Amino acid sequence: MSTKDKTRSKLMESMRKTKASANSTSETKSTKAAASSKPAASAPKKAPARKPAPRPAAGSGNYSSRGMVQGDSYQAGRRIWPD
Amino acid sequence: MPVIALVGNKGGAGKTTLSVNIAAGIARDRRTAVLDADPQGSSLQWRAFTEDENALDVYEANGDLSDQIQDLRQQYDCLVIDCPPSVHAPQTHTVLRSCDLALIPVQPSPVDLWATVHTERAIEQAREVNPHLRAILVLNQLESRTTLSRLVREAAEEIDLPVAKTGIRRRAIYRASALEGKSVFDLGKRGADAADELKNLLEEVMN
Repeated sequence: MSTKDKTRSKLMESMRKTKASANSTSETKSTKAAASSKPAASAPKKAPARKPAPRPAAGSGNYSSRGMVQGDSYQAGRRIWPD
Repeated sequence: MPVIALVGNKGGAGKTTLSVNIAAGIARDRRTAVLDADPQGSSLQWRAFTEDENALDVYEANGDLSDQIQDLRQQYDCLVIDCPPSVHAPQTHTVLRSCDLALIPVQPSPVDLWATVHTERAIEQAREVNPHLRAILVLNQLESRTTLSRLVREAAEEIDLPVAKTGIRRRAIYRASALEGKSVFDLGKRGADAADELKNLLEEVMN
């Protein structure tokens, strides 16, 4: 078997594996989506009571909730809030 | 009028280079603009280097991308969109739902080919909303002497998307043209071979 044939064989095998893996991932996702879209059998749930917004600790000027609103969603999503 | 998106799931595949050069090729006989939807802003940077007042219009994506595409579609005969290097990016998501043709550059590398499998899934999903979306793989940066360049077409055919017959060769002139803020169409004899290749590609994919 020439080097080219070996490379070809490896490449084609890797493509088949990648496709199979992608297919199984999308199937898993669609199964999960179908499961989550099933209507609930029980009575409609009441919306949970909203937690009060965390208040900034006294003297914590650098971590005000106002600052968080001003930041973009990426920053807000990544920020670790000090409890 | 056509909206063409350069899409892919991997950086360095040639989306920006092809966006700018394809747009320049189309601009020879149609009013054409580039919309840079990639936060890296490489197409905008390319435009900033040019000293030619008549160079292509390049727009930065801002506000509602879908609305911006519709506005530009009305202003120009053709719009070329340079997407971020991820099919999971919200910009790519929006563009695939608004464009007519997605060109997917694929380098002769296993990593590029594997990444393109995910692009195929994104195209399938976009077609649920945008059923007329055409998508074509463009073999890019081909090197005549390497084994992978010879095998890439066969491997790409494993993906359920058509592959353009015209492949784009790896050429130093693309890098040189970016440094001058020009396209290969602006470089006369120096860019002639690359320009001919792109003309062939455009003829193939635009019809």
